[in-house]
Amino acid sequence: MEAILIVLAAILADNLLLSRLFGVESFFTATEKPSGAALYGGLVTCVCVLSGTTVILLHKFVLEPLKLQYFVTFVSVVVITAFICAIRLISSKASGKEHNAVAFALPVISGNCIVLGSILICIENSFSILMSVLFLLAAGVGFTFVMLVFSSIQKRLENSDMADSFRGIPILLISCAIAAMAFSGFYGLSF
Amino acid sequence: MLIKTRIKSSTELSSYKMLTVCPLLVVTTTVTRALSMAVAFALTLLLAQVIVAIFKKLIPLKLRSLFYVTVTAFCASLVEILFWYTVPGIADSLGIYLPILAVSCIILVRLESTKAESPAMGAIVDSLVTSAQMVLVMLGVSFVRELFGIGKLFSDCFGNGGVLVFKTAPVPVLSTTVGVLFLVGIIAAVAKYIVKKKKIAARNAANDLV
Repeated sequence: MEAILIVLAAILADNLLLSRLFGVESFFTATEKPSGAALYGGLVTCVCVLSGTTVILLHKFVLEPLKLQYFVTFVSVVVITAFICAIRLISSKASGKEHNAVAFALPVISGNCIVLGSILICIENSFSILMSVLFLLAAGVGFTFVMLVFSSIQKRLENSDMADSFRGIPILLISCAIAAMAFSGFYGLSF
Repeated sequence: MLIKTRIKSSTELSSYKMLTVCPLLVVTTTVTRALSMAVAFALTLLLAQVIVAIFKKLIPLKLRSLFYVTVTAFCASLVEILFWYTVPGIADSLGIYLPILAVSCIILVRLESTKAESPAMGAIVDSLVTSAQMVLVMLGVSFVRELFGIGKLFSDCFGNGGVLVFKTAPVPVLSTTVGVLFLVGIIAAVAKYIVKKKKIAARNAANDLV
């Protein structure tokens, strides 16, 4: 029951993107086409689950016994970067091209706070390992969901009539605010 | 692997910067909190710039962005430990947003855009200018949010104490995440309007000269 609640909360009520604004900068880089948004979201989910699980295991079995919890931020960033490099290497080997779509989307993830944010939330709330994996997966899925929603919102905004100074980033932020308001309707689901 | 390769023009860079500031703006519910966040940001950026300026020439070009990410994370960890050691109350109220500085895009973009050949002094000046801009934005946003969202002025990190201005907060939504997005959106629109007005005025002046 608790697991279902955590997953639902991470996707809807406590959606990290809309409730904490983690990873808002990816609106700028990846929401032009739905396929691009889906690819980016999928990559973020992948990095989130893989690096998050590694960091939580490291935190539980290495950092905590040695009383080095303060270094969890540094360790997380190193692990995230290592996974991003590994995925980039694998994708370029698999496709035979060095500059494919995956390799193009990856560098931005290293500056995306949703991965580090979800890992730190797991550690802060001291979730169990299974719960953490579920939460990380749900955080990634929630992120992908919002990215997909915004890729269509952006298409609608392009064709709509509005004041010139609101075009671009300002209207995107305001529509994000309205979406965040809608998502806060799920407030009762939060953990 | 550089983030900047994704960004083509200076207008794109400025809008990208605007978006990267957003996660930091969530904490600006009171002026004190905003100020401590800005100080943490400035310290991290300054430390990272200094370390990068010292070691940049030794790192091969292919590994440079990895180096930036690691250095930023290291500096952010140091600042986090410093905050917990000296002002645990503030560090507690900032919570997860303090370690999040480790992956702040704005720091990474700043590190990437200073050239390897430029002297260390330039990097320090650049980080000071960026920090000053950040402090201004955060103070402005937090002032509006505290005054209209909570109805107080100069309260501490948790919203206790301070001078009561309004008995009931006039726009309570401003103290939430939604309020930040609305506020930043409107500020961005106004800034865009002013820049456009200035451009038109400059073009008119140039036409008059001809």
